Amino acid sequence: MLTILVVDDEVAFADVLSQRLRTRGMQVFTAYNGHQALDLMQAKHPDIVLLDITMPGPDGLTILQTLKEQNPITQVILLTADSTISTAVTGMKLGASDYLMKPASFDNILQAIHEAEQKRLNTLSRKRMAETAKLAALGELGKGVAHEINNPVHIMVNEVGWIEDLLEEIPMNADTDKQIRNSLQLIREQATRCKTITSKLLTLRPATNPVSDLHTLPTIWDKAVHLRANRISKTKVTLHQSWSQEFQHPLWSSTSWMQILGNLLDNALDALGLAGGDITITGQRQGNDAIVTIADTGHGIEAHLLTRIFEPFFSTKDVGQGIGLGLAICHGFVESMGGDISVRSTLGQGSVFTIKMPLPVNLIQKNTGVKILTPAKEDANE
Amino acid sequence: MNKLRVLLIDDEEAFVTTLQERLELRDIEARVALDGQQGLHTLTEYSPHVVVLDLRMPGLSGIEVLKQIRHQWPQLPVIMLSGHGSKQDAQTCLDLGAVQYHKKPLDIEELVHSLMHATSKGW
Repeated sequence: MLTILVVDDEVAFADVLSQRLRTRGMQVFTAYNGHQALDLMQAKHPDIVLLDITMPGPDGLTILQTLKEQNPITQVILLTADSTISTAVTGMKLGASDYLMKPASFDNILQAIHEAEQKRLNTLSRKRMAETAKLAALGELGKGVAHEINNPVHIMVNEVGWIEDLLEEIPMNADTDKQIRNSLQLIREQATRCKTITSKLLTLRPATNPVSDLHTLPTIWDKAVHLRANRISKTKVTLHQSWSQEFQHPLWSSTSWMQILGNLLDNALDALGLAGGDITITGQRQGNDAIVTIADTGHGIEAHLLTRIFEPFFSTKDVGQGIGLGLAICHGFVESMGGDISVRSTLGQGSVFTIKMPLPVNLIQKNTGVKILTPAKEDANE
Repeated sequence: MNKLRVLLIDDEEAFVTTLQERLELRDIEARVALDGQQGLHTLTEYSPHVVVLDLRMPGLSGIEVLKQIRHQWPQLPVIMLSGHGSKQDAQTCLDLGAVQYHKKPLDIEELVHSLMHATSKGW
């Protein structure tokens, strides 16, 4: 469903317009001044804003500027009563997608919304393409770094082995022998740590074929589970899943979602430990967004750590147990697709990770969100 | 009794020369080639019982060398080494007739075991 924010200090006009847009199947929020507008924008993330320019408090242009800084993808249609073209031009320069002179007919407003939505979808898919390219570059960088680190690590481990061989050959005082062997063991363990990090970096490679990369989200989840079957079989973990129909279309990038779901699954399994428990994944549609949650009944995360867990190399696990890249990688992939990830957690009861992501564009276009914007038969003027 | 002769093909000199010494300590004769071309060249004059071949090398890649070995010496067992290989790489090598696929860092006893196993089966 398309989410619209109507901002106008003429209460009657704003209310009537909002109501009529609602009858066209849109979700509409109404603000009567600049402050309300800014609050609603923060809270509701509208797709399109219908914005009056002249208002008490922060005026339309100020709001436009703030909005474009916060969320460049949201489209803004300016409504202007004064006929000064220069204000409209300034507005367009600041990134408004259209402007309408008041009084504007409802048809014109609908048409402008329709065009703005098309523009928004195009911007979204362009942005995704750019992000994919960025991710590809990052993947290449990760691969390069991983290879460059792996070779010296292999040499180190091999040399450790060689020293151990020599210890077998050369008789030595038992104490010294033990000390040297302990040190060698430490070097070997640290090398294994490096290796764990580099293998994570190597998984950042992007999909080679974007089309064959697309699958349904339940399939991707099943694959992530399958890859960890060995680990799961050793614990008392029960997995649950529920999906709405949007997720059953093969429109979800396997490479990205394998990273996201895989890392979250690893995280949930870590939280449950050997004691086991439940892991529940759900996928639902909310407007034009996909909401995916992964909940575990594990030990939970302490409140003061919640804000830090998505930072790279931050780990609450014991040194050597977690490298602190899993959630950072998740976060990176989610952001690169224009979504966000959050977490709620109660100590001793478990954690819920929630991903909010724009639905794949094809899915939106398949659905009613855009179709409802076909020109209206209604010919009323506001 | 003749020693087991192994040809090591790997461009990482520090790695492969130490490996050579470690094998010799275990009574296995090893010779080193630092790239694929040199490896194929050494093969003709050295005639080892088994080849240990790195997957990623500049110039001829491990896969290309493996193909050529399969073509010219179809009976010669080849053990592949990989620093960062994927499952797919492993499968490709095994499909091309490699007898074993080891990941680095390498456990020397495992390698020795593979060497023995490969030669007892093939020879």
